[in-house]
Amino acid sequence: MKLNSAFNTYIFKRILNSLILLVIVMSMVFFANRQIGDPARMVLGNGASEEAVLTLRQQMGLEDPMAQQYGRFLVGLATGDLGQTYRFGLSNSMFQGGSANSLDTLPIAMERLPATLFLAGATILFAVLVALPMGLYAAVHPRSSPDRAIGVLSLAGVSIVEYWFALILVLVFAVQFAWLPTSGYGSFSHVILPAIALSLRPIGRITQIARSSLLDELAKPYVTAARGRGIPMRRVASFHALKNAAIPIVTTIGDETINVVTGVIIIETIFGWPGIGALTVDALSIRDVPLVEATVFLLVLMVLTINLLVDLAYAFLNPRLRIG
Amino acid sequence: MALVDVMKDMQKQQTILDVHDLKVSFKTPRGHVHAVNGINFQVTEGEALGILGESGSGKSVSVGALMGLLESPPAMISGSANYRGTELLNAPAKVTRKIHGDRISMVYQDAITSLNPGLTIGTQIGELFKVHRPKMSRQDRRSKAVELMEAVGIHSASERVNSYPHEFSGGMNQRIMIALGIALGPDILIADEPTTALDVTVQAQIMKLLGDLRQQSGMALILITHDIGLVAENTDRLMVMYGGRPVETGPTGAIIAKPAHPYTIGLMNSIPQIEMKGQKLEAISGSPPKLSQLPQGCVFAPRCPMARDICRTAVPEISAVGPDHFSACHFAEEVAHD
Amino acid sequence: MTQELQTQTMSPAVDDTERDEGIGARDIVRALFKDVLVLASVIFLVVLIFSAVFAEFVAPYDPLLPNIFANRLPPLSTATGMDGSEQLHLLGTDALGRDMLSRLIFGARASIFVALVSVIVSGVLGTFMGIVAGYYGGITEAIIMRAVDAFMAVPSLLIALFVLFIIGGGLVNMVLIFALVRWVVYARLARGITLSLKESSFVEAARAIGASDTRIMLRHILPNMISPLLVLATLEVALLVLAEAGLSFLGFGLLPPEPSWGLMISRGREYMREAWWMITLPGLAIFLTTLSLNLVANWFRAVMDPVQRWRWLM
Repeated sequence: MKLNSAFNTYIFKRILNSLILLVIVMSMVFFANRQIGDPARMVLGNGASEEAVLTLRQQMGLEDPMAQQYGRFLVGLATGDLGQTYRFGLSNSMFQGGSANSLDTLPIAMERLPATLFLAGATILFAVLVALPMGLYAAVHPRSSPDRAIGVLSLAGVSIVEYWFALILVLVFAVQFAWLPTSGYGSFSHVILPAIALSLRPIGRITQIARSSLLDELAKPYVTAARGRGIPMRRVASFHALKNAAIPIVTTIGDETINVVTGVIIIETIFGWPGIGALTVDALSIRDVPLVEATVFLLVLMVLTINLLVDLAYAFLNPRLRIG
Repeated sequence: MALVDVMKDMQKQQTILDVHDLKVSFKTPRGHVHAVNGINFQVTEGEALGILGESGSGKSVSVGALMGLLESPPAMISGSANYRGTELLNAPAKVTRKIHGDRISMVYQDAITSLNPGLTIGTQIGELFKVHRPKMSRQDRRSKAVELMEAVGIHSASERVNSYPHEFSGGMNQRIMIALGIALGPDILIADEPTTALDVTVQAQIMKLLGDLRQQSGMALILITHDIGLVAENTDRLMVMYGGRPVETGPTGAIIAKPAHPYTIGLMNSIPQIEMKGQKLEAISGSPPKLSQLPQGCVFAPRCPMARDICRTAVPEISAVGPDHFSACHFAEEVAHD
Repeated sequence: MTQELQTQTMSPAVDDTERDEGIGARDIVRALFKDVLVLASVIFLVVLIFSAVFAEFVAPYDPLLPNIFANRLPPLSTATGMDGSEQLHLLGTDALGRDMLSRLIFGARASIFVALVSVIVSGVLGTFMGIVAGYYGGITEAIIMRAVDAFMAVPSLLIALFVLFIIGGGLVNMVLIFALVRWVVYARLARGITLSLKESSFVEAARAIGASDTRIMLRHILPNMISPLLVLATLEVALLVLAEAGLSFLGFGLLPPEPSWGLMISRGREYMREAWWMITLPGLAIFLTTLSLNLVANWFRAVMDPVQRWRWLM
């Protein structure tokens, strides 16, 4: 697809902005992490001697001036080296089963990425498949009883506590009826409960936005004109209006994908899903700073990528951004 | 006169659209708004009918009802509109869909917003054939679209068929609207203020295009406007509307020559004319009536310079003031002869 | 996207010139009584806020007082209290025998306090920033909006989680963090409205008669964004109640023994199989609260919208 040059410049700027933002966020994480205690002592534990701690601090470069440490961090960021985990190889259950042979945190975190992408992808796909038809129906039949029901349901979707609902789902479908596994990873049945729990909010939001942006489109003169040409309402809604209503809908799908990527932090913990969210919580709870840096890096990178994809999607949807 | 001509003449007289006692009101939180209060008119084959009125006179709502464009509720429509034996009002969409866009089509006021900004011109014209002539092939639809664009005077149509509305000027978009209107060779083309949004020079071009197309195809035209000059030049018969009611109907020439309703006279006096240079322009005083609280008697009485007591209590009957020329004024005769 | 001028001849909203006569408090109350669900939500929220404020008087028992002989009693149980009296536990007891209803009421106080105070702080800050950015433009606007974009690009929950990890949880820290990450939504809204109002005739007129910038911003611009701000703030309260619950669940929010809804779910999870009410009830409390807030916000927005309003007043 040919894009007009202003849009190319815009996309280029957005990529640049995203990279700058990534560096800023990671720098803040770097400085913040230096405030929470002595990493050397964390590695060695409270029983270690002052001497041993000092030796390790020197080895880890913590005795160097802050500017030098920060410089090393930036170089590491550019080369994809975010340091080594403090706890890897210790008898900690969360690291068992990992196949990464090094202590580098980024590969450890990367290993968790496919599971998270799978869960987030399944969630959003499910949400869109449910929400779009509901929103479309509600917009074509405004103020009907189904429309009112859809309206309340979508509000309920955004009002629910995801992890609580996840636990209730486990209680009912895994514990009570034993239809689905309570937790774990591997088969298709494992993804059902976490995906449903995560999808409620996106379903609610996408339905609302689809309905309201379609209603806005359906009130426009071109819709009246198309109906006056004898074009069936269903075709007017799904062919004429939907494409023009797509920009806010796609924006919302993007926003909700981002919410899902954050939502996995809790849901993965509950379902023992071996993704980046569960790893983040584990790394936070054992205060493994370099590992936290790696997971935050990947989470922020995912968010920025989604934002960029949404921007690119605009070009497909708005003919004004294309070269005629 | 040759027999053929007589027969042609008789055919011309055939009524194709008969609107009887059309009423439209809207339900609102503060009561019912009576937009159209019983209008009657016929359209015969090939003729040009003008519907003249200010905004709020109910002229656009009337055709909205005819074209099935009013959302119901809140709109409540009664009366009948018969197109060659098919009832259009309150009829199932399945029935009217075959007529709207095919036999009766419409050109809208603001072309740029009446075209879908997200679809190419070719797609939008082609869609008409896809919906109404499902057997037509894709290539045929495309070549038809190009042909129609040429017919309405768009140059290098075969290249521009893949353009979007925003790539055309306002006048060009109005031509595209007209192409959509005439695509399936309709019997009646309804044009709702087709030139209001355009420059004066473009206005003239568009009206000429409409006239030429009418001559070629013999379709009837319903021209809806607030511009008395436009109807004077382009229509055979005229219906003047005020407050949702027809106040005067008749041959355009007769009405212009001898208006029989004070409102029509008011409209005519409010257009500037060369020979009246230097004289004060007479605007009609006051503003159009609130459609939720129509006056008891004649709707125009509160603004009428000739209003008397009876005008404020009784709704005037429609009376003939000439051949096929009617006025809804208590003093129609008097007004016509003044 | 550009807002297109709509010249819609078919809509009654245009044909009926007398519709837009504004809307009074009486119209709103009348419309409220026509929508049962919204009315129920308003009543629920009023009762909830009343109980949260007067928790000491409303709650039947001390929410922190354990009674190990009466632990994990199902709803509608009675037990002999520590003082020997017969006690009815309407919604059961938790693992330490503490009364669930009392804990829910005090939990409401914590959850709503955090959400409400955060919304007020972030709302005032964000509105101020947004109006200033929109009104003055230039470098002021560039700096503020760059910050807004940056905060918008990274999910708030992630920032909140990380910062609370560094500075530790607790009531005050949560309010600070929520204010820090959420002011941007108000700033964006306020800037947008300010931009559209800045060129309007009444602001021009105020400027022409020599009104100061501060006066124009406070007297002419601010009052015109109150209702969209109220809608947004209501939605934000709902969002923050959910966020508080999530962060507390993970152990980065409010700290035990503070009775917060999120913490109650977290505790209830351990006894999920044996005592369903321990996990179900606090989750339901959050759900009903946020649902009511969302319903009310949604309804208020519709009533305030000149295009939609007439349908609701009918």
